[in-house]
Amino acid sequence: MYGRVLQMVFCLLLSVLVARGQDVLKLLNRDSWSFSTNEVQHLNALSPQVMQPTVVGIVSSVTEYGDNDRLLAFRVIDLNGDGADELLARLDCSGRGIVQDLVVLSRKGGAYICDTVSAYGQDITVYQSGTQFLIVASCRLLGEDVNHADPNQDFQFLYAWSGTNCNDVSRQHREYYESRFVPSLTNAIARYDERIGADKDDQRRSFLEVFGFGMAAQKFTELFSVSPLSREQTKKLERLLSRLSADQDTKLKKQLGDEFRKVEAYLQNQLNR
Amino acid sequence: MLCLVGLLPVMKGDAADYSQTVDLGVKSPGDLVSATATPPGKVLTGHVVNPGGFVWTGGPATFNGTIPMDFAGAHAGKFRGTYQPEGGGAGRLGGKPKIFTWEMDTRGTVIDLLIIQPAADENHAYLAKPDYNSTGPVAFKARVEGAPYAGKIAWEVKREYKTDAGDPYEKTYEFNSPNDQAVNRTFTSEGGRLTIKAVAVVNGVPISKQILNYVTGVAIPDATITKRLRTLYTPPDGGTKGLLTGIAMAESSYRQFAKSTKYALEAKWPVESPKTKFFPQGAYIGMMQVPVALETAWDWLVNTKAGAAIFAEKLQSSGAEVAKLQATRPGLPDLTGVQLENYALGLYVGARARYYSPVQVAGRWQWQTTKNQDLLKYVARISDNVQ
Repeated sequence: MYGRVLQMVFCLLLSVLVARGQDVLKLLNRDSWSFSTNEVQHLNALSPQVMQPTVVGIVSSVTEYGDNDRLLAFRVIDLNGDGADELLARLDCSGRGIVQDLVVLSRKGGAYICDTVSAYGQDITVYQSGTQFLIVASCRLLGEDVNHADPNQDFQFLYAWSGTNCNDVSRQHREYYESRFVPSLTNAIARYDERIGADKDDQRRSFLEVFGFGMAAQKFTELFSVSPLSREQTKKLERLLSRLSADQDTKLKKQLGDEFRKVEAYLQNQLNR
Repeated sequence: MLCLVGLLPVMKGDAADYSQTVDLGVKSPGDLVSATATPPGKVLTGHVVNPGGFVWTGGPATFNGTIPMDFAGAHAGKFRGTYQPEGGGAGRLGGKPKIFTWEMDTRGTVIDLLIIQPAADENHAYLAKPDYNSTGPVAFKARVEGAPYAGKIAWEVKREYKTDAGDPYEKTYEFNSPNDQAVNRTFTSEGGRLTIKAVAVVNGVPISKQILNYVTGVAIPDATITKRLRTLYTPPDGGTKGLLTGIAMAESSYRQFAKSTKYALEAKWPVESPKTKFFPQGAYIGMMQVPVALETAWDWLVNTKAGAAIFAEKLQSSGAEVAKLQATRPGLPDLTGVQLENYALGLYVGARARYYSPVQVAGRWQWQTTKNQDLLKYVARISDNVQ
């Protein structure tokens, strides 16, 4: 008896929640997405499952792709503080939860605006700078040069929403990298055990990890014209890379191609300064 | 149990003025015990005469003992000392206090449960036969020592496995074995750390022992992998029979298991996807890097089947997308089998950019190949590695 009552209460609650979810979703039918704080809260409180048909429907109508995508995460936010809200979405087309991009959607005057940022991951992360929220987009520096189970150092780029598209503004936000990226990279190098990679199975993994540190340092230097590493750290990295790369088969080095030579040259260049 | 033999201050041979026996009961190796001499007066001295196999400290009245880990059987200890009777004057002669002697025997039974098989910290790697997804028979054998025992040994074997990204996969197996006889268990499509607990109830007292073991993977020959992957995929017309072999190479370098350290054990563990800032380690797993589950992690047959099923679905989605694009673009040609596979590979790798997209050139619709370098590299690497 109790069980039956509980079941009815549960079904009633579920139907109320679904109906409420449908009401909230109607907000996205507005000609322009400009929501009150309360409305944004209600939208963000919906589950990706409830939001999925609407978001997938909009994206596939705009891009003609992705009818079968699965919405993993979303966030409604006014990225550039102009009073118009954007919807950031993580859509999985892989069937494996591997998501390489972040979709940014907005709506003005009855028309949808859509842009895609290359951003590996399932989460949605933003960085507040003044009145703006910048998209933190993670990029795997070795991309598809290595297999998916290999270490692949990531690097974050910052994107600002202009109202119609996303622009890379990483260079203008050195403070983000000074406070987050540099400490994380230097700590990783400091912690790295120089004895690692002693046996064959470790060698590939260790080599790619160390190579990734070099690529990340190089990327930072490309952006800000200074090295994120001290001379000692650069020396340690160069020493590790030199030892580990000697053990690597030529196939992997060939796979990495120019990137490998660039990182070697970068470290040497930093040491010669 | 305390047995008062005498309070007279007269020694008769080796007999003490006061004797007592302390029954320590049924104990296990490693247990701590305590025995206190309680003669009717103030204990002045006390020492161990026979430790009975235990290690004793303390005194003069209270002795604390530790049962060595390798001790099992009957315990019989002996302690002696002196005491001054209560009031101090009962036996006083010529003003000098009379000193009496006491004696304490300790008795007890130490029962041990030995896990004979498997050995502590043993690693049971998968065997090649029949399918690289199973251990051989793992024997569980334990023996009660220190007392006759005809009862059963109850086993609890908790298997646990977890990646940083995945749910914990735990299962506890419960079974019995006769005392000092082995029972075998085989672990198929599962692995990780085993917490093995054996319990015996001897004379109403439960005694238990616990050890850790591991179940880990094994290298699978390339030829075996190739043979299976080629049977798992039916390409579209003009497609690539061995396409899954290329995918397995691009995803995992043809490995379901690779040497790494987990639960402080270096062995062949399932190949986990690496940690990145926004992805915890082990979000995908194994040869085809599919979403983590116990079976996809520990059974390469399940893993490859899951990968093949996901890719088949991507191929179907690709066909539907192409048809949708063609419906609004008259004259847009069909994709060949290989092109359709390339399109599907773009989906499988999670790229929003499509490998081919329609463009109109001189009034005619045609397909344009993506300029996305990562997507091009992924597809090229698969194509280069097809077996």
